[in-house]
Amino acid sequence: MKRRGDLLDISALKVVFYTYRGVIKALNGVELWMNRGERLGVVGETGCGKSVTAKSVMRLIEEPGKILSGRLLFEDKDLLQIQESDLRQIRGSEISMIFQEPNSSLNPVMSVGFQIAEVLAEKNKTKIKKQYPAVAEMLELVGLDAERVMTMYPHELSGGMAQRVMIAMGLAPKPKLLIADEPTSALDVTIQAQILELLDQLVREMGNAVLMISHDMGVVAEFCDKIMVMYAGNSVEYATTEKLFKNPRHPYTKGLLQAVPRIGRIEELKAIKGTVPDLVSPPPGCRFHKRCPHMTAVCQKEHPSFIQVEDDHYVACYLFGNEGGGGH
Amino acid sequence: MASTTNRTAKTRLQLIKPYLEDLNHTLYLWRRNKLAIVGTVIIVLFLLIAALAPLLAPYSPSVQNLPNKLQAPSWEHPFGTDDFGRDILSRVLYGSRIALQIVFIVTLISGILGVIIGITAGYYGGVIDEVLMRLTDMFLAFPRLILAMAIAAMLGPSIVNAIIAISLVQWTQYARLARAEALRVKGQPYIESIRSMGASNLRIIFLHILPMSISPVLVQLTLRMGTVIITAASLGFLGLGAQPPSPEWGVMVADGRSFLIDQWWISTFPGIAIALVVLGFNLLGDGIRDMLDPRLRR
Amino acid sequence: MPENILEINNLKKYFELKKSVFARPKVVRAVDNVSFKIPRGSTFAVVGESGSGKTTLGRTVLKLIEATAGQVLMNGTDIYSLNKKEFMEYRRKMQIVFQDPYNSLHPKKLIKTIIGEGMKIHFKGMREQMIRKRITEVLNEVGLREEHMFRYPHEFSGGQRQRIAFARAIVLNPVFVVLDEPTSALDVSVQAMVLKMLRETKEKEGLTYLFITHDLSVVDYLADHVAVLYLGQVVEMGKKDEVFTNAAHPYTELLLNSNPVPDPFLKREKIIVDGEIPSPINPPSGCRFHTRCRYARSKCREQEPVEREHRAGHSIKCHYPLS
Repeated sequence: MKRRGDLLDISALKVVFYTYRGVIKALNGVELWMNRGERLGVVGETGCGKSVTAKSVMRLIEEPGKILSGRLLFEDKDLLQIQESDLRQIRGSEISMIFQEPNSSLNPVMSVGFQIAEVLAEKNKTKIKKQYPAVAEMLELVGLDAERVMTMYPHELSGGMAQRVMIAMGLAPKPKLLIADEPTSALDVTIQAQILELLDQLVREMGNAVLMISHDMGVVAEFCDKIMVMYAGNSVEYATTEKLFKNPRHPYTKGLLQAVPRIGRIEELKAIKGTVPDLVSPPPGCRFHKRCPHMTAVCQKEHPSFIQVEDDHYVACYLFGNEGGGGH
Repeated sequence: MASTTNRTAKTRLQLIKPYLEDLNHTLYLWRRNKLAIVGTVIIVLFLLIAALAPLLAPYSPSVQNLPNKLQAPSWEHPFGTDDFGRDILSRVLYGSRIALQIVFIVTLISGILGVIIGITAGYYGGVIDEVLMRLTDMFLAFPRLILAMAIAAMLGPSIVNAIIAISLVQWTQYARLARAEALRVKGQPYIESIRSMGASNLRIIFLHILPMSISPVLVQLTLRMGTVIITAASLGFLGLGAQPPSPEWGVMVADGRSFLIDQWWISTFPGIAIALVVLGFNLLGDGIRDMLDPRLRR
Repeated sequence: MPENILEINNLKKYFELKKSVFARPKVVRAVDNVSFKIPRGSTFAVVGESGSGKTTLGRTVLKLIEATAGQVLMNGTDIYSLNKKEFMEYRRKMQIVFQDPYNSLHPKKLIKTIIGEGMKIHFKGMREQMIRKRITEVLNEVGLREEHMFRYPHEFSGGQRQRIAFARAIVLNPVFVVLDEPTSALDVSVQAMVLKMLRETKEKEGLTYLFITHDLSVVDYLADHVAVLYLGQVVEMGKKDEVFTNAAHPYTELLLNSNPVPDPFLKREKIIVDGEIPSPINPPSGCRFHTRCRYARSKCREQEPVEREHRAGHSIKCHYPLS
């Protein structure tokens, strides 16, 4: 199979969760790739699997979840094949992650400075104490008063400050890939603007690639170079931000864009009819077919494969000359 | 007409549906918990014995038969006889009825008392909460058995007074639990929304808060049943509870005290009965607690 | 009947934070001297960030929590002057829909019971058949069907639950409904449906909305009037179109600018203001916004601006308005 992104190339990723209700087919063959230094936004609604995808990259899927199959190439290594110990080398130093709730992702009984120093010490194989100057530098970089914040505990930080600390912690080891899972969803808009601006600036200087998970079309439109749209555990459309907004191909992407309210929008909002399927018993074929205005017989049989429709524009839909067959 | 009855039947089924689903899930977890199964078996046996004691017992529990006194266990008297010649097996079997009666009444009284006090304190808060909770603390400040002994001694030794005494020391923890649950539930948006409809406090407490805060109290009630039996037996043993010749297990253990060296069976068999039933309640209670653990209920 | 269905005068709600018995209690001025009028049949939006007091304001207007001072006039009657019995009629006329569709419906009750409970409280002795008929009506109105009556909340999606919550609010024929962030927990495709439903039902039932939110793009879709709240005070207020196109307060400008736009072709200068939102326990002196205002001068730090008419029907609380 052809290599699609030189940093990350995920193909046919399947993840399930075993629950009392049955097996949740959370990811059903996700396709996702990124080049070095690129910013990819993953958008979709609740339960589409965007966070599960992010966690899978770090192999952080825990019981009762399981990665069933797929290929997860990070540079030249398949992260699904390597040993846990080798993976630990990559986690936190080559790939790091920041979360939606910064306060609950920090350890409440350790000072902020110590926690960042620990991450750095782990990477550089040195004593924690030796890392404090680097930590101070990092905290200044994210716009915090290093001297003061270093000795503070997570509960003393406001939401915006905590997210800055998380960004400092995520970027301190200079990772090649930063995964940001809804980094600003819990923040007020004015603080969100600050954080996005800060992240934009830092990432531009340091050259990290960013995988941003978000439900907010506005945030990804402003921050990302490319966008992957997910629906019910599948990648449905991938394109550069401009192409996706100007010329969305997949009926779901179109529906989503017509449903987003924005200031000064004149045309009426259009909702997508129906509801997201239950992933314990998802519909056969294309998981969107029950809500799709262009549904045909073939849509109910097999899931369309992810095909290229133009440069940097891929879509999983039979409307675009798809032969079907799952594609793997 | 048929369709109306059909419809009401369907409505009724709908009404209990979430409870049925809950029950199904609970049964599923129960089957995977071996100790809970053991506990359930013990308790079911205990209940059956209590129900069928007159059929199962070979002799009368109270009629004396002095020529036959202090017989060692034999085919005729599997558990032996006591110093009045009464069959110990029959007395142990009948004793289960007394134990069950005590457990049932104590649980009912202390449960109702605890839930009412706890929910009232939690829902109203402020001064009411302070007064009721300090009252609870006063009861909690004494060791439970000693307090029960004091109350039983004060009221005079009898089985009814023992039940009152045990109920009075048991309700405190149900009150605290119910209060914590009421506090949690009253902050839920659905309670605020029903208040925004103009519902009265009583309506909110009984129709909305009570059903949502009762289940942890029920678990605790099961968990404490073992303790209730031990306390009742202790009071009986000390002469502060049931009185001879009642075949209450604690009384029977006390009866055998002076014969312990030579006629060990008099105290031992009622003692084993106490231990088994308490073990059964504890295993069952632990099992229920595990089954209701939200971390397991995914 | 007065032209304004609701008139709020100098409403205040202070909370005392008790730290210990000996320390002087700290006071949170959650709502600090707020006045506005809501014209009959309109949607009045209150916009603010966390700590602005918008949620407290909604509760105080409905007397779900008692105001510290001020008046709430409903059709000209001050609801705070009424006794319990007189107030019940106003309780029926004023309803609320909460933000969280997952916890605002009692998990162990049938939809029928949840929606019908209000009727059981207000129309004692109403026949079961009548109650069912009315529940069916409101279910249809919000886009659900009669058979949904016999289901439980967990059988519905977030959007459907919010419809049920709205059905419960309108079942008593209210004239005024507070919508407290009704769509912020929903996904966009669902949000669009709920917003449309809210707008259509308002026309059909002749309702007036007080719409509380942090999301300006939703305000643009739904509201006629808007009040911008900052640390418990209204800083700008007026017709929505007027405020959105000619924002005169620097805070409104900042809020509008911070709202991410789902349009990669729109290039605009982003305003980034450093600093945190101050705490309402200890609000800044002078103009409360001066710590984050990029136009602040010395007068802003010292003197609190008064609320005044900036243009016709457009009031502002700022020393140096932008336009």
